[in-house]
Amino acid sequence: MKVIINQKEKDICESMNIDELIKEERISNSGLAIAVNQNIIPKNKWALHLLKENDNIMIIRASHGG
Amino acid sequence: MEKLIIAGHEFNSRLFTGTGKFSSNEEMGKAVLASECELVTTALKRIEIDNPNDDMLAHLKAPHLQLLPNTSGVRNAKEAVFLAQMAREALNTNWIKLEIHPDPKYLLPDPIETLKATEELAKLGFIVLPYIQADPVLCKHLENAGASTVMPLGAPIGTNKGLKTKELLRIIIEQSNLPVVVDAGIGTPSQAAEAMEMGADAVLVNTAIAVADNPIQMAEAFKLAVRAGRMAYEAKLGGINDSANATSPLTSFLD
Repeated sequence: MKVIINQKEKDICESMNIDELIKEERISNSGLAIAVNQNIIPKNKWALHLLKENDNIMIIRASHGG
Repeated sequence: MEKLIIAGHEFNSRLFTGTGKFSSNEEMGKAVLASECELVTTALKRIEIDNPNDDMLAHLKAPHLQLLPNTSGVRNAKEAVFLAQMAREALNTNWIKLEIHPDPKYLLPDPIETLKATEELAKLGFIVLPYIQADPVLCKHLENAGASTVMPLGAPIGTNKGLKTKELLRIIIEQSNLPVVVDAGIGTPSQAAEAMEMGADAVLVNTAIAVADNPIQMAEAFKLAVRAGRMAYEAKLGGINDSANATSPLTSFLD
């Protein structure tokens, strides 16, 4: 199914949860936060949150800045 | 030297640093350590899905270091509140450096949106450190809105122009009941020392350290300057006189 991750379309498996998405995409979870359709999903809910077709997923990470 | 206290948290160092513009994570980590700062800023950005990992946090793991995420990139209060909540989730901290600067050329902070966001974030339990124009009236509004510091600029971000707002900083320092952290524009250790001599509670320095030929040595130079400036402030500076005032006895020897 299609979802949007950080403004880019991506095909992912049906009924995937956020934990599985992170593992599948080999994203390290250090300093990471995720919102789905503008709702922030706490880390302890990632394994329970099933992604749906057309979900708009924002993944941010700590980065360099002043 | 007196300790700096922000929202009940004690800091030995009055120098805050940032993590932008370094040529590598290794250099950044070493400069941050050389500065002996205890509060270091990070930004937040969307990961690139094809290149999602960056180990910068691994270089900021010292036990004395506290991370201060910023909201750089947001254009208004609504976006700032959202990003602050993302930052809290990402870094497990309720401290936030609130930056709302919609103008990309001078990166000047929007006072109205900053005030709105401060009020809302304070209600949500955040320790809010707002980056602002050197505006003494705004500082009072932020104090009432629940800010934990005020962070007036010396000059626009990354310009290294120094304390262009000096007279306004002086009024802010005189009137503020919150710690005053001079942020942005400080380009040399002597400018940092001057801010501290004036009675600023702390300074935040990023560009001037990161873009130096030797950022690690420059970090140490800023550490010493901030300490010297603070010590001078606490020791109380002598007054300025228009006419000379002899330091040696004016003895006449050939009478």
